[in-house]
Amino acid sequence: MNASSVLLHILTGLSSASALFLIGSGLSLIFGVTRIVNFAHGSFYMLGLYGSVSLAQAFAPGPLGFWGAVLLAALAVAALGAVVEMLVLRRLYAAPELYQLLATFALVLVIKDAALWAWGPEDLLGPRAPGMTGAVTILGKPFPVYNVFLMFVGPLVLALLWLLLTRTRWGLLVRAATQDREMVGALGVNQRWLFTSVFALGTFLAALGGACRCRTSRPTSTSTWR
Amino acid sequence: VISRDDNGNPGDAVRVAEELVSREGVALLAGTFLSNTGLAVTDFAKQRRIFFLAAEPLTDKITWQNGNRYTFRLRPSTYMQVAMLVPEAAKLRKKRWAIVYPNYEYGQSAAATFKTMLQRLQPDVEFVAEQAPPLGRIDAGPVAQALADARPDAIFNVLFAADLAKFVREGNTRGLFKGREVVSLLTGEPEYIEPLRDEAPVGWIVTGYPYYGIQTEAHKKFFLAYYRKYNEYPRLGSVVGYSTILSIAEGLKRAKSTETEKLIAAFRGLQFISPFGPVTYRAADHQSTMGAYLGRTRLEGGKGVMVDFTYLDGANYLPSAEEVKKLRPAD
Repeated sequence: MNASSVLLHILTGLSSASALFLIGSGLSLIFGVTRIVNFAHGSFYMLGLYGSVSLAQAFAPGPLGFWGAVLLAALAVAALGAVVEMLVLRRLYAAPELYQLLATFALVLVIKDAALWAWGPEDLLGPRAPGMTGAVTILGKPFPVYNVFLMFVGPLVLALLWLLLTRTRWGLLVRAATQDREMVGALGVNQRWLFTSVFALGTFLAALGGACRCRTSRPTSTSTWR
Repeated sequence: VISRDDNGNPGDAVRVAEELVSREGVALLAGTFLSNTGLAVTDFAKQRRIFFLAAEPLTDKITWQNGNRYTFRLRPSTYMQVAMLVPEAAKLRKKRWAIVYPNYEYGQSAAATFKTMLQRLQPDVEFVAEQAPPLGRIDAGPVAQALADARPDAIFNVLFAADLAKFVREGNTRGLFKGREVVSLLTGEPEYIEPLRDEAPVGWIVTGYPYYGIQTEAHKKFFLAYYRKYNEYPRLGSVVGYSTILSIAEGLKRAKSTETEKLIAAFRGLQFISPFGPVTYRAADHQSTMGAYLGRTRLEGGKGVMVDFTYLDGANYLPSAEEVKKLRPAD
Protein backbone atom coordinates (compact mmCIF):
# COMPACT_ATOMS: atom_id res chain seq x y z
CA MET A 1 0.00 0.00 0.00
CA ASN A 2 1.65 3.22 -1.11
CA ALA A 3 0.57 6.82 -1.63
CA SER A 4 -0.80 6.29 -5.13
CA SER A 5 -3.03 3.38 -4.12
CA VAL A 6 -4.30 5.34 -1.13
CA LEU A 7 -5.21 8.20 -3.47
CA LEU A 8 -6.95 5.81 -5.85
CA HIS A 9 -8.95 4.28 -3.03
CA ILE A 10 -10.01 7.76 -1.93
CA LEU A 11 -11.10 8.62 -5.47
CA THR A 12 -13.10 5.39 -5.77
CA GLY A 13 -14.73 6.19 -2.46
CA LEU A 14 -15.59 9.70 -3.64
CA SER A 15 -17.26 8.42 -6.79
CA SER A 16 -19.48 5.96 -4.95
CA ALA A 17 -20.26 8.57 -2.32
CA SER A 18 -21.34 10.86 -5.12
CA ALA A 19 -23.81 8.32 -6.49
CA LEU A 20 -25.09 7.63 -2.98
CA PHE A 21 -25.58 11.38 -2.53
CA LEU A 22 -28.04 11.41 -5.44
CA ILE A 23 -30.12 8.75 -3.76
CA GLY A 24 -29.78 10.22 -0.29
CA SER A 25 -30.69 13.74 -1.36
CA GLY A 26 -33.96 12.46 -2.83
CA LEU A 27 -34.77 10.61 0.38
CA SER A 28 -34.09 13.58 2.65
CA LEU A 29 -36.00 15.93 0.33
CA ILE A 30 -39.08 13.74 0.61
CA PHE A 31 -38.69 13.33 4.35
CA GLY A 32 -38.10 17.03 4.89
CA VAL A 33 -41.32 18.10 3.22
CA THR A 34 -43.76 15.24 3.70
CA ARG A 35 -42.36 13.78 6.96
CA ILE A 36 -42.72 10.34 5.48
CA VAL A 37 -39.92 7.85 5.99
CA ASN A 38 -39.96 6.37 2.55
CA PHE A 39 -38.92 2.73 2.78
CA ALA A 40 -39.61 2.29 -0.91
CA HIS A 41 -36.92 4.77 -1.93
CA GLY A 42 -34.51 1.92 -2.63
CA SER A 43 -37.11 0.29 -4.85
CA PHE A 44 -37.27 3.40 -7.02
CA TYR A 45 -33.51 3.28 -7.17
CA MET A 46 -33.77 -0.30 -8.41
CA LEU A 47 -36.41 0.61 -10.99
CA GLY A 48 -34.08 3.33 -12.26
CA LEU A 49 -31.36 0.71 -12.68
CA TYR A 50 -33.57 -1.80 -14.49
CA GLY A 51 -35.33 0.84 -16.57
CA SER A 52 -32.15 2.41 -17.86
CA VAL A 53 -30.65 -0.96 -18.74
CA SER A 54 -33.75 -2.02 -20.69
CA LEU A 55 -34.10 1.30 -22.47
CA ALA A 56 -30.43 1.47 -23.36
CA GLN A 57 -30.73 -1.97 -24.94
CA ALA A 58 -33.83 -0.92 -26.85
CA PHE A 59 -32.35 2.33 -28.16
CA ALA A 60 -29.66 2.57 -30.77
CA PRO A 61 -26.21 2.22 -29.25
CA GLY A 62 -24.30 5.48 -28.97
CA PRO A 63 -24.12 8.43 -26.60
CA LEU A 64 -27.62 9.70 -27.42
CA GLY A 65 -29.31 6.35 -26.83
CA PHE A 66 -27.36 5.78 -23.64
CA TRP A 67 -27.89 9.14 -21.94
CA GLY A 68 -31.41 9.30 -23.32
CA ALA A 69 -32.11 5.99 -21.64
CA VAL A 70 -30.70 7.21 -18.32
CA LEU A 71 -32.79 10.38 -18.39
CA LEU A 72 -35.94 8.76 -19.70
CA ALA A 73 -35.78 5.97 -17.11
CA ALA A 74 -35.41 8.53 -14.33
CA LEU A 75 -38.35 10.56 -15.69
CA ALA A 76 -40.54 7.48 -16.02
CA VAL A 77 -39.78 6.44 -12.45
CA ALA A 78 -40.51 10.00 -11.29
CA ALA A 79 -43.92 9.78 -12.97
CA LEU A 80 -44.52 6.48 -11.22
CA GLY A 81 -43.48 8.12 -7.97
CA ALA A 82 -46.06 10.87 -8.52
CA VAL A 83 -48.78 8.28 -9.13
CA VAL A 84 -47.80 6.38 -5.98
CA GLU A 85 -47.90 9.58 -3.98
CA MET A 86 -51.38 10.44 -5.25
CA LEU A 87 -52.80 6.95 -4.77
CA VAL A 88 -51.15 5.78 -1.58
CA LEU A 89 -49.22 8.33 0.41
CA ARG A 90 -51.66 11.21 0.09
CA ARG A 91 -54.06 9.26 2.28
CA LEU A 92 -51.44 8.67 4.94
CA TYR A 93 -50.02 12.08 5.83
CA ALA A 94 -52.31 12.37 8.82
CA ALA A 95 -51.97 8.72 9.83
CA PRO A 96 -49.56 7.54 12.55
CA GLU A 97 -45.96 6.89 11.44
CA LEU A 98 -46.41 3.16 11.76
CA TYR A 99 -48.96 3.10 8.93
CA GLN A 100 -46.64 5.12 6.74
CA LEU A 101 -43.84 2.65 7.39
CA LEU A 102 -46.16 -0.27 6.66
CA ALA A 103 -47.43 1.25 3.44
CA THR A 104 -44.00 2.10 2.05
CA PHE A 105 -42.67 -1.29 3.14
CA ALA A 106 -45.54 -2.92 1.26
CA LEU A 107 -44.46 -0.91 -1.78
CA VAL A 108 -40.98 -2.41 -1.44
CA LEU A 109 -42.39 -5.93 -1.63
CA VAL A 110 -44.74 -5.10 -4.51
CA ILE A 111 -42.06 -3.43 -6.61
CA LYS A 112 -39.55 -6.18 -5.86
CA ASP A 113 -41.84 -8.93 -7.09
CA ALA A 114 -42.99 -6.81 -10.04
CA ALA A 115 -39.35 -6.40 -11.10
CA LEU A 116 -38.79 -10.14 -10.75
CA TRP A 117 -41.82 -10.75 -12.93
CA ALA A 118 -40.89 -8.17 -15.55
CA TRP A 119 -37.15 -8.72 -15.83
CA GLY A 120 -36.70 -12.29 -14.63
CA PRO A 121 -34.16 -13.68 -12.20
CA GLU A 122 -31.15 -13.72 -14.53
CA ASP A 123 -28.34 -11.22 -14.00
CA LEU A 124 -28.32 -8.24 -16.31
CA LEU A 125 -25.22 -6.24 -17.00
CA GLY A 126 -25.82 -2.67 -18.04
CA PRO A 127 -23.97 -1.35 -21.08
CA ARG A 128 -21.04 0.91 -20.40
CA ALA A 129 -21.28 4.61 -21.12
CA PRO A 130 -20.02 5.27 -24.66
CA GLY A 131 -16.70 7.12 -24.55
CA MET A 132 -16.27 6.31 -20.85
CA THR A 133 -15.25 2.67 -21.00
CA GLY A 134 -11.55 3.32 -20.57
CA ALA A 135 -9.34 4.46 -17.77
CA VAL A 136 -7.19 7.49 -17.08
CA THR A 137 -3.77 7.05 -15.57
CA ILE A 138 -3.39 8.64 -12.16
CA LEU A 139 0.08 8.39 -10.60
CA GLY A 140 0.88 5.53 -12.94
CA LYS A 141 -2.23 3.53 -12.14
CA PRO A 142 -5.38 3.16 -14.24
CA PHE A 143 -8.57 4.69 -12.87
CA PRO A 144 -11.94 4.24 -14.65
CA VAL A 145 -13.11 7.35 -16.52
CA TYR A 146 -16.67 6.64 -15.49
CA ASN A 147 -15.75 6.99 -11.83
CA VAL A 148 -14.31 10.42 -12.59
CA PHE A 149 -17.60 11.33 -14.24
CA LEU A 150 -19.56 10.05 -11.22
CA MET A 151 -17.44 12.20 -8.91
CA PHE A 152 -18.65 15.31 -10.73
CA VAL A 153 -22.30 14.29 -11.06
CA GLY A 154 -22.90 14.58 -7.32
CA PRO A 155 -21.68 18.17 -6.92
CA LEU A 156 -23.44 19.14 -10.16
CA VAL A 157 -26.77 17.84 -8.93
CA LEU A 158 -26.12 19.51 -5.57
CA ALA A 159 -25.62 22.85 -7.33
CA LEU A 160 -28.79 22.41 -9.39
CA LEU A 161 -30.80 21.46 -6.30
CA TRP A 162 -29.47 24.49 -4.46
CA LEU A 163 -30.46 26.76 -7.33
CA LEU A 164 -33.89 25.16 -7.49
CA LEU A 165 -34.52 25.50 -3.76
CA THR A 166 -33.18 29.01 -3.25
CA ARG A 167 -33.86 30.77 -6.54
CA THR A 168 -37.32 29.61 -7.64
CA ARG A 169 -40.80 30.14 -6.29
CA TRP A 170 -41.29 26.39 -6.09
CA GLY A 171 -38.16 26.11 -3.98
CA LEU A 172 -39.44 28.85 -1.72
CA LEU A 173 -42.67 26.95 -1.16
CA VAL A 174 -40.81 23.72 -0.46
CA ARG A 175 -38.64 25.45 2.12
CA ALA A 176 -41.68 27.04 3.65
CA ALA A 177 -43.44 23.67 3.84
CA THR A 178 -40.47 22.09 5.65
CA GLN A 179 -40.61 24.88 8.23
CA ASP A 180 -44.35 25.10 8.82
CA ARG A 181 -46.79 23.14 6.77
CA GLU A 182 -49.99 24.54 8.21
CA MET A 183 -48.90 28.12 7.66
CA VAL A 184 -48.15 27.41 3.99
CA GLY A 185 -51.61 25.89 3.65
CA ALA A 186 -53.19 28.89 5.38
CA LEU A 187 -51.53 31.18 2.84
CA GLY A 188 -53.49 29.47 0.09
CA VAL A 189 -50.80 27.25 -1.38
CA ASN A 190 -52.07 23.96 -2.78
CA GLN A 191 -50.10 21.53 -0.66
CA ARG A 192 -51.28 18.51 -2.56
CA TRP A 193 -49.44 19.40 -5.72
CA LEU A 194 -46.46 20.62 -3.78
CA PHE A 195 -46.13 17.25 -2.05
CA THR A 196 -46.67 15.32 -5.26
CA SER A 197 -44.01 17.31 -7.07
CA VAL A 198 -41.54 16.93 -4.21
CA PHE A 199 -42.12 13.20 -4.13
CA ALA A 200 -41.65 13.00 -7.90
CA LEU A 201 -38.40 14.95 -7.68
CA GLY A 202 -37.18 12.69 -4.87
CA THR A 203 -37.88 9.52 -6.82
CA PHE A 204 -36.35 11.13 -9.92
CA LEU A 205 -33.11 11.60 -7.98
CA ALA A 206 -33.23 8.02 -6.68
CA ALA A 207 -33.78 6.64 -10.17
CA LEU A 208 -31.09 8.88 -11.62
CA GLY A 209 -28.69 7.64 -8.98
CA GLY A 210 -29.64 4.08 -9.91
CA ALA A 211 -29.33 4.70 -13.62
CA CYS A 212 -25.90 6.29 -13.16
CA ARG A 213 -24.66 3.51 -10.94
CA CYS A 214 -25.64 0.68 -13.24
CA ARG A 215 -22.40 1.22 -15.17
CA THR A 216 -20.45 0.21 -12.12
CA SER A 217 -22.94 -2.09 -10.50
CA ARG A 218 -25.69 -4.18 -11.93
CA PRO A 219 -29.35 -4.56 -11.14
CA THR A 220 -30.65 -7.37 -8.99
CA SER A 221 -34.17 -7.70 -7.77
CA THR A 222 -32.79 -7.44 -4.26
CA SER A 223 -30.90 -4.19 -4.83
CA THR A 224 -32.84 -2.15 -2.34
CA TRP A 225 -31.42 0.06 0.35
CA ARG A 226 -33.35 -1.32 3.21
CA VAL B 1 -43.19 -32.20 -6.67
CA ILE B 2 -43.99 -29.36 -4.29
CA SER B 3 -41.56 -26.47 -4.37
CA ARG B 4 -40.85 -23.61 -1.99
CA ASP B 5 -38.46 -20.65 -2.24
CA ASP B 6 -35.69 -20.72 0.38
CA ASN B 7 -34.92 -17.02 -0.27
CA GLY B 8 -31.21 -17.84 -0.25
CA ASN B 9 -31.33 -17.70 3.52
CA PRO B 10 -30.68 -20.59 5.97
CA GLY B 11 -33.45 -19.54 8.36
CA ASP B 12 -36.10 -19.45 5.64
CA ALA B 13 -34.77 -22.71 4.19
CA VAL B 14 -35.33 -24.56 7.45
CA ARG B 15 -38.73 -22.94 7.92
CA VAL B 16 -40.02 -24.00 4.48
CA ALA B 17 -38.44 -27.46 4.90
CA GLU B 18 -40.36 -27.84 8.15
CA GLU B 19 -43.54 -26.69 6.40
CA LEU B 20 -43.01 -29.20 3.58
CA VAL B 21 -42.45 -32.06 6.00
CA SER B 22 -45.14 -31.39 8.57
CA ARG B 23 -47.87 -29.73 6.54
CA GLU B 24 -47.42 -31.17 3.05
CA GLY B 25 -46.18 -34.52 4.33
CA VAL B 26 -43.48 -34.93 1.68
CA ALA B 27 -41.52 -38.18 1.50
CA LEU B 28 -38.17 -36.55 0.82
CA LEU B 29 -36.49 -33.17 0.35
CA ALA B 30 -34.30 -32.06 -2.54
CA GLY B 31 -32.71 -28.87 -3.76
CA THR B 32 -31.25 -25.69 -2.19
CA PHE B 33 -28.74 -23.46 -3.94
CA LEU B 34 -26.33 -21.64 -1.63
CA SER B 35 -23.91 -23.59 0.54
CA ASN B 36 -25.15 -22.14 3.81
CA THR B 37 -28.80 -22.94 3.07
CA GLY B 38 -27.84 -26.43 1.94
CA LEU B 39 -25.94 -26.97 5.16
CA ALA B 40 -28.90 -25.78 7.21
CA VAL B 41 -31.21 -28.28 5.49
CA THR B 42 -28.56 -31.01 5.89
CA ASP B 43 -28.78 -30.49 9.60
CA PHE B 44 -32.57 -30.33 9.42
CA ALA B 45 -32.62 -33.69 7.63
CA LYS B 46 -30.59 -35.20 10.45
CA GLN B 47 -32.85 -33.78 13.16
CA ARG B 48 -36.07 -34.80 11.44
CA ARG B 49 -34.69 -38.06 10.01
CA ILE B 50 -35.86 -37.30 6.52
CA PHE B 51 -34.10 -38.02 3.23
CA PHE B 52 -32.46 -34.96 1.66
CA LEU B 53 -30.78 -34.74 -1.74
CA ALA B 54 -28.72 -31.53 -1.91
CA ALA B 55 -28.71 -30.39 -5.54
CA GLU B 56 -26.67 -27.20 -6.05
CA PRO B 57 -24.79 -26.37 -2.82
CA LEU B 58 -21.09 -27.06 -3.08
CA THR B 59 -19.60 -27.01 0.40
CA ASP B 60 -17.64 -30.10 1.40
CA LYS B 61 -19.28 -30.09 4.80
CA ILE B 62 -22.57 -31.42 3.41
CA THR B 63 -21.02 -34.79 2.67
CA TRP B 64 -18.02 -34.71 5.02
CA GLN B 65 -17.66 -32.81 8.31
CA ASN B 66 -21.40 -32.25 8.76
CA GLY B 67 -22.49 -35.23 6.68
CA ASN B 68 -25.18 -37.55 7.93
CA ARG B 69 -26.90 -40.72 6.81
CA TYR B 70 -29.94 -38.83 5.52
CA THR B 71 -28.15 -36.46 3.18
CA PHE B 72 -26.86 -37.08 -0.34
CA ARG B 73 -25.39 -34.54 -2.74
CA LEU B 74 -25.43 -34.33 -6.54
CA ARG B 75 -23.07 -31.59 -7.71
CA PRO B 76 -19.28 -31.96 -7.58
CA SER B 77 -18.22 -30.38 -4.29
CA THR B 78 -15.91 -27.42 -3.77
CA TYR B 79 -13.11 -29.85 -3.00
CA MET B 80 -13.63 -31.75 -6.26
CA GLN B 81 -13.80 -28.65 -8.44
CA VAL B 82 -10.77 -27.10 -6.78
CA ALA B 83 -8.95 -30.42 -7.18
CA MET B 84 -9.70 -30.23 -10.91
CA LEU B 85 -8.29 -26.69 -11.15
CA VAL B 86 -5.20 -27.03 -8.96
CA PRO B 87 -3.13 -29.24 -11.33
CA GLU B 88 -3.72 -26.61 -14.04
CA ALA B 89 -2.79 -23.83 -11.62
CA ALA B 90 0.42 -25.64 -10.67
CA LYS B 91 1.31 -26.08 -14.35
CA LEU B 92 1.37 -22.30 -14.74
CA ARG B 93 4.44 -22.17 -12.47
CA LYS B 94 3.43 -18.84 -10.98
CA LYS B 95 4.91 -17.94 -7.64
CA ARG B 96 2.80 -15.08 -6.32
CA TRP B 97 -0.93 -15.80 -6.05
CA ALA B 98 -3.81 -13.59 -4.99
CA ILE B 99 -7.16 -15.02 -3.95
CA VAL B 100 -10.61 -13.41 -4.07
CA TYR B 101 -13.71 -15.16 -2.69
CA PRO B 102 -17.17 -14.37 -1.34
CA ASN B 103 -17.08 -14.37 2.43
CA TYR B 104 -19.35 -17.26 3.34
CA GLU B 105 -19.20 -21.05 3.59
CA TYR B 106 -18.56 -21.80 -0.10
CA GLY B 107 -15.95 -19.08 -0.65
CA GLN B 108 -14.02 -19.80 2.52
CA SER B 109 -13.83 -23.52 1.93
CA ALA B 110 -12.80 -23.09 -1.73
CA ALA B 111 -10.00 -20.67 -0.81
CA ALA B 112 -8.71 -22.89 2.00
CA THR B 113 -8.73 -26.04 -0.17
CA PHE B 114 -6.97 -24.20 -2.99
CA LYS B 115 -4.19 -23.01 -0.70
CA THR B 116 -3.50 -26.42 0.85
CA MET B 117 -3.61 -28.30 -2.44
CA LEU B 118 -1.47 -25.85 -4.41
CA GLN B 119 1.12 -25.76 -1.63
CA ARG B 120 1.35 -29.53 -1.79
CA LEU B 121 2.05 -29.48 -5.55
CA GLN B 122 4.19 -26.36 -5.54
CA PRO B 123 5.86 -25.79 -2.17
CA ASP B 124 7.45 -22.44 -3.12
CA VAL B 125 4.08 -20.76 -3.80
CA GLU B 126 3.34 -17.47 -2.04
CA PHE B 127 -0.13 -16.09 -1.31
CA VAL B 128 0.34 -12.35 -1.46
CA ALA B 129 -3.20 -11.04 -1.15
CA GLU B 130 -6.62 -12.24 -0.09
CA GLN B 131 -9.88 -10.34 -0.54
CA ALA B 132 -13.13 -11.63 0.89
CA PRO B 133 -16.00 -9.28 0.03
CA PRO B 134 -19.47 -10.12 1.40
CA LEU B 135 -21.65 -12.27 -0.86
CA GLY B 136 -23.69 -10.17 -3.30
CA ARG B 137 -22.39 -6.87 -1.96
CA ILE B 138 -18.92 -6.53 -3.43
CA ASP B 139 -17.45 -3.05 -3.77
CA ALA B 140 -15.54 -4.12 -6.84
CA GLY B 141 -13.39 -1.02 -7.39
CA PRO B 142 -11.42 -1.20 -4.15
CA VAL B 143 -11.22 -5.03 -4.31
CA ALA B 144 -9.69 -4.95 -7.80
CA GLN B 145 -7.39 -2.12 -6.73
CA ALA B 146 -6.16 -3.95 -3.62
CA LEU B 147 -5.39 -7.10 -5.66
CA ALA B 148 -3.49 -5.06 -8.24
CA ASP B 149 -1.49 -3.36 -5.47
CA ALA B 150 -0.20 -6.73 -4.26
CA ARG B 151 1.30 -7.33 -7.73
CA PRO B 152 0.45 -11.06 -7.96
CA ASP B 153 1.54 -13.26 -10.90
CA ALA B 154 -1.77 -15.07 -10.92
CA ILE B 155 -5.23 -14.85 -9.37
CA PHE B 156 -7.57 -17.51 -8.04
CA ASN B 157 -11.17 -16.34 -8.21
CA VAL B 158 -14.13 -17.87 -6.39
CA LEU B 159 -16.63 -15.03 -7.01
CA PHE B 160 -19.75 -15.79 -9.01
CA ALA B 161 -22.97 -14.17 -10.27
CA ALA B 162 -23.36 -10.43 -9.59
CA ASP B 163 -20.08 -10.19 -7.70
CA LEU B 164 -18.20 -11.76 -10.61
CA ALA B 165 -19.73 -9.35 -13.13
CA LYS B 166 -18.75 -6.29 -11.11
CA PHE B 167 -15.30 -7.66 -10.37
CA VAL B 168 -14.60 -8.48 -14.03
CA ARG B 169 -15.78 -5.05 -15.17
CA GLU B 170 -13.66 -3.17 -12.63
CA GLY B 171 -10.72 -5.51 -13.17
CA ASN B 172 -10.85 -4.98 -16.93
CA THR B 173 -11.00 -1.19 -16.62
CA ARG B 174 -8.24 -1.10 -14.04
CA GLY B 175 -5.97 -3.44 -15.98
CA LEU B 176 -5.93 -6.05 -13.19
CA PHE B 177 -5.98 -9.05 -15.55
CA LYS B 178 -3.38 -7.74 -17.98
CA GLY B 179 -0.43 -10.13 -18.11
CA ARG B 180 -1.85 -12.25 -15.27
CA GLU B 181 -3.19 -15.76 -15.33
CA VAL B 182 -6.56 -16.27 -13.69
CA VAL B 183 -7.88 -19.58 -12.41
CA SER B 184 -11.55 -19.35 -11.59
CA LEU B 185 -14.22 -21.60 -10.10
CA LEU B 186 -17.60 -21.90 -11.89
CA THR B 187 -16.98 -18.97 -14.27
CA GLY B 188 -17.57 -21.16 -17.34
CA GLU B 189 -21.17 -21.83 -16.31
CA PRO B 190 -23.58 -20.12 -18.70
CA GLU B 191 -25.41 -18.59 -15.72
CA TYR B 192 -22.35 -16.52 -14.91
CA ILE B 193 -20.42 -15.99 -18.13
CA GLU B 194 -23.28 -15.10 -20.48
CA PRO B 195 -24.52 -11.98 -18.64
CA LEU B 196 -21.02 -10.55 -19.15
CA ARG B 197 -21.51 -10.58 -22.93
CA ASP B 198 -18.53 -8.99 -24.71
CA GLU B 199 -16.87 -8.14 -21.40
CA ALA B 200 -16.39 -11.82 -20.58
CA PRO B 201 -12.86 -12.59 -19.44
CA VAL B 202 -10.46 -14.15 -21.94
CA GLY B 203 -7.98 -16.92 -21.23
CA TRP B 204 -9.20 -17.78 -17.72
CA ILE B 205 -8.93 -21.40 -16.65
CA VAL B 206 -12.40 -22.27 -15.42
CA THR B 207 -14.84 -25.01 -14.52
CA GLY B 208 -18.22 -24.79 -16.17
CA TYR B 209 -20.74 -26.13 -18.63
CA PRO B 210 -20.11 -25.58 -22.37
CA TYR B 211 -23.58 -26.62 -23.57
CA TYR B 212 -22.70 -25.55 -27.13
CA GLY B 213 -19.93 -28.08 -27.61
CA ILE B 214 -20.66 -31.31 -25.74
CA GLN B 215 -20.95 -34.09 -28.29
CA THR B 216 -21.89 -37.05 -26.11
CA GLU B 217 -25.07 -38.95 -26.88
CA ALA B 218 -26.52 -38.42 -23.39
CA HIS B 219 -26.02 -34.68 -23.56
CA LYS B 220 -27.34 -34.29 -27.12
CA LYS B 221 -30.53 -36.04 -26.13
CA PHE B 222 -30.96 -33.81 -23.10
CA PHE B 223 -30.08 -30.63 -24.99
CA LEU B 224 -32.55 -31.25 -27.82
CA ALA B 225 -35.36 -32.23 -25.49
CA TYR B 226 -34.74 -29.16 -23.36
CA TYR B 227 -34.57 -26.87 -26.35
CA ARG B 228 -37.76 -28.25 -27.83
CA LYS B 229 -39.63 -27.78 -24.58
CA TYR B 230 -38.44 -24.34 -23.48
CA ASN B 231 -37.05 -22.90 -26.70
CA GLU B 232 -33.85 -21.83 -25.02
CA TYR B 233 -30.52 -23.41 -24.21
CA PRO B 234 -30.05 -25.16 -20.85
CA ARG B 235 -27.99 -23.58 -18.06
CA LEU B 236 -25.97 -25.68 -15.65
CA GLY B 237 -28.86 -25.29 -13.24
CA SER B 238 -31.07 -27.05 -15.81
CA VAL B 239 -28.71 -30.03 -15.89
CA VAL B 240 -28.55 -30.12 -12.09
CA GLY B 241 -32.32 -29.85 -11.71
CA TYR B 242 -32.97 -32.53 -14.31
CA SER B 243 -30.37 -34.89 -12.85
CA THR B 244 -31.72 -34.35 -9.34
CA ILE B 245 -35.22 -35.41 -10.27
CA LEU B 246 -33.94 -38.18 -12.54
CA SER B 247 -31.81 -39.68 -9.79
CA ILE B 248 -34.69 -39.48 -7.32
CA ALA B 249 -36.87 -41.36 -9.80
CA GLU B 250 -34.15 -44.01 -10.14
CA GLY B 251 -33.76 -44.17 -6.38
CA LEU B 252 -37.49 -44.62 -5.82
CA LYS B 253 -37.59 -47.36 -8.43
CA ARG B 254 -34.74 -49.16 -6.71
CA ALA B 255 -36.17 -48.69 -3.22
CA LYS B 256 -39.71 -49.63 -4.30
CA SER B 257 -40.82 -47.49 -1.39
CA THR B 258 -40.73 -43.92 -0.09
CA GLU B 259 -39.58 -44.92 3.38
CA THR B 260 -36.52 -42.97 4.45
CA GLU B 261 -34.39 -45.97 5.44
CA LYS B 262 -35.16 -47.83 2.23
CA LEU B 263 -34.37 -44.72 0.19
CA ILE B 264 -31.02 -44.36 1.92
CA ALA B 265 -30.19 -47.99 1.17
CA ALA B 266 -31.25 -47.53 -2.46
CA PHE B 267 -29.22 -44.32 -2.96
CA ARG B 268 -26.01 -45.90 -1.62
CA GLY B 269 -24.23 -46.91 -4.81
CA LEU B 270 -27.13 -45.82 -7.01
CA GLN B 271 -26.13 -45.38 -10.65
CA PHE B 272 -27.90 -43.34 -13.29
CA ILE B 273 -27.10 -41.69 -16.61
CA SER B 274 -27.00 -37.91 -16.28
CA PRO B 275 -26.62 -35.58 -19.27
CA PHE B 276 -22.89 -35.56 -18.37
CA GLY B 277 -22.65 -39.37 -18.41
CA PRO B 278 -22.89 -42.13 -15.81
CA VAL B 279 -22.98 -40.98 -12.21
CA THR B 280 -22.84 -42.98 -8.97
CA TYR B 281 -23.79 -41.92 -5.46
CA ARG B 282 -20.89 -43.18 -3.38
CA ALA B 283 -21.86 -45.29 -0.43
CA ALA B 284 -18.92 -44.01 1.64
CA ASP B 285 -19.85 -40.32 1.77
CA HIS B 286 -23.13 -39.98 -0.17
CA GLN B 287 -21.37 -37.75 -2.72
CA SER B 288 -22.24 -38.28 -6.38
CA THR B 289 -19.44 -38.72 -8.89
CA MET B 290 -20.87 -36.12 -11.26
CA GLY B 291 -17.98 -34.19 -12.78
CA ALA B 292 -17.45 -30.83 -14.41
CA TYR B 293 -15.98 -29.40 -17.59
CA LEU B 294 -12.60 -27.72 -17.40
CA GLY B 295 -11.42 -25.30 -20.08
CA ARG B 296 -10.21 -21.84 -21.01
CA THR B 297 -12.51 -18.94 -21.70
CA ARG B 298 -12.56 -17.04 -24.97
CA LEU B 299 -14.71 -14.43 -26.69
CA GLU B 300 -16.64 -15.72 -29.69
CA GLY B 301 -19.28 -13.69 -31.50
CA GLY B 302 -19.52 -11.14 -28.70
CA LYS B 303 -19.93 -13.58 -25.83
CA GLY B 304 -17.80 -15.66 -23.55
CA VAL B 305 -17.42 -19.37 -24.25
CA MET B 306 -15.24 -22.22 -23.01
CA VAL B 307 -12.73 -23.73 -25.42
CA ASP B 308 -10.38 -26.75 -25.27
CA PHE B 309 -12.60 -28.20 -22.62
CA THR B 310 -12.59 -31.74 -21.24
CA TYR B 311 -15.01 -33.53 -18.97
CA LEU B 312 -13.42 -34.56 -15.70
CA ASP B 313 -15.19 -37.39 -13.96
CA GLY B 314 -15.79 -36.54 -10.33
CA ALA B 315 -14.81 -40.05 -9.23
CA ASN B 316 -11.15 -39.29 -9.98
CA TYR B 317 -11.11 -36.21 -7.77
CA LEU B 318 -12.58 -37.67 -4.61
CA PRO B 319 -10.52 -39.00 -1.73
CA SER B 320 -10.78 -42.71 -1.04
CA ALA B 321 -13.45 -44.25 1.16
CA GLU B 322 -10.96 -44.66 4.05
CA GLU B 323 -9.92 -41.01 4.01
CA VAL B 324 -13.53 -39.90 3.84
CA LYS B 325 -14.43 -42.07 6.80
CA LYS B 326 -12.06 -40.02 8.95
CA LEU B 327 -13.78 -36.80 7.86
CA ARG B 328 -17.33 -37.90 8.49
CA PRO B 329 -18.86 -38.09 11.93
CA ALA B 330 -20.07 -41.57 12.86
CA ASP B 331 -23.79 -42.11 12.25
